[in-house]
Amino acid sequence: MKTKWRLFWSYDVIKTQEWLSDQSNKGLSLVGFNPKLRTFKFERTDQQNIQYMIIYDKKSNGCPKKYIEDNDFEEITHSKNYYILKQLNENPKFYPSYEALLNKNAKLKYIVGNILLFVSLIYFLIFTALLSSILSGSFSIEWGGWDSPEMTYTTQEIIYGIINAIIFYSTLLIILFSPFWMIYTYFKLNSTNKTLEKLCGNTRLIKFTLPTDKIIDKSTLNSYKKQGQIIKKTKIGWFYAPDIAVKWLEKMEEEGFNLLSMSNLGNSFYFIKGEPKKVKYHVDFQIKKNANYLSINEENGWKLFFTSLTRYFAITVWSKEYEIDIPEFYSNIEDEVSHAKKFMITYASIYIFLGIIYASVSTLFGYTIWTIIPEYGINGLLISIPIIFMLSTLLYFYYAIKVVSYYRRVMKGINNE
Amino acid sequence: MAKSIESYMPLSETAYYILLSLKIPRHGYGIIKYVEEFTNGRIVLGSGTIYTTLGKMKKSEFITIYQDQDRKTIYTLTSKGEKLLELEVKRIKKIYEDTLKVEGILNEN
Repeated sequence: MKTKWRLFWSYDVIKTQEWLSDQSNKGLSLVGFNPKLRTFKFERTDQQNIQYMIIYDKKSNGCPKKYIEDNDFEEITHSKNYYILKQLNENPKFYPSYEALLNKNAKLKYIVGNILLFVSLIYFLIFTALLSSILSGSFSIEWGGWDSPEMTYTTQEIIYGIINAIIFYSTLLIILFSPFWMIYTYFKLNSTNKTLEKLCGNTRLIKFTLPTDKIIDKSTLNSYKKQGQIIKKTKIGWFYAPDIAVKWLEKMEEEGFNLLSMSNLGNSFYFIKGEPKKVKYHVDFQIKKNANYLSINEENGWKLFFTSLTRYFAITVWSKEYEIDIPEFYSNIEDEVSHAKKFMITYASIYIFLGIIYASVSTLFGYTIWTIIPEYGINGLLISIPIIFMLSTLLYFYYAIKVVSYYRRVMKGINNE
Repeated sequence: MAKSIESYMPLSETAYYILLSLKIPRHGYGIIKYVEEFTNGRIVLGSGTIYTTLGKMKKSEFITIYQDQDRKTIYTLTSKGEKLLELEVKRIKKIYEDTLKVEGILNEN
């Protein structure tokens, strides 16, 4: 019996699988593992070449049965929701899916990424505030020793002292190392999740937010521009009224302006002068895009133009050419309604929340400035802060209203049908 | 506590046909094609509908996914899904029988 420790085994399961196979080549075959302690238990055997598969399955109670039935895989061990399978057949008909594992890792990456963003923003603010106060001379650091205390302690004091020290140093360690852990987690998962996506069937190549076949390079764009064939239209915030944008895009196609590409942030559209076409557009919103979201729609003939960078709260632009029957992205009304509802609730709550926060910041700032005006006079820079916050608040409420009215239009359209 | 199978009944027409088509493991697009051919074009499922319905069914453990040799996702029924389909088929058969009975009575009059 031999136990080996592998700290971040779940961040790169493909590598862990290879590592387990390597162990079997050395005559160590896996018998058990503990995902929490990150330990793998091996038994000495003859040298063999075993292919392992690690899957995560929160749903099925017990190992998913299909591959066992097919005699392609055998369960070696499981712990919590992780299963380690041994591949029995060289060419199995079905493989277990890595999707649940990908979902779990993608969620972790998303949460860690957001915390990192937030923490770095706060660090940046503190840093600039400190720097500016040091530079302006209103803040100085004083270095000094402390008085040496008397050296007699009771046992109780010593124990308290040790406990305090442990708490202090472990907190310090966590504070010091958690950023490193977060940065490592984020970048490691960023690369391994891409591999898992491919293994889950997402072979679509996306660069930032655009599908690679819909990106036009600069020289082609310039030559189109010189011939006057291309039209660029920018519509900021069209996302919040997707039905209006869809109608506009469809009208452009009818007039012979075919959509060629979109900009990275999705605010601009490039049209090329061509033939009038009947094209149905759909702007789709998903709280979570699974690995097979793109392929399932593309196989059904929808052309991809744009998809949000993150897999959460994602907006995707689809189009499909037709002759007589108008293709429907959602073939029943309930799905159409719940799609619009999800979109409305998500964006309205985000913008109302932001709006309230910005409004309070603006009021707080405004009030503080108001009270110091008699003393310091009017400072243009200071006054601009609450005004900027107030304008942002108005913009956020405007977006929230736009999203709600989109939902009302969808409902009205359905009720009129 | 997990919701009982009965609480998902009756299924929507879309969900019923998707489950019916999954008696054999299929790709997402395979489901759309099969249902379209099977119903002679009466039901053409949109791919967004397929995606959301499959997602919901996966969440409630009626179906599960695999990867085929080309790494494409395949959907198949779980035993819970088979049970649901069985109950639903029984219910629909009963409805059909009752409809025939009523029609029979009406025709006699």
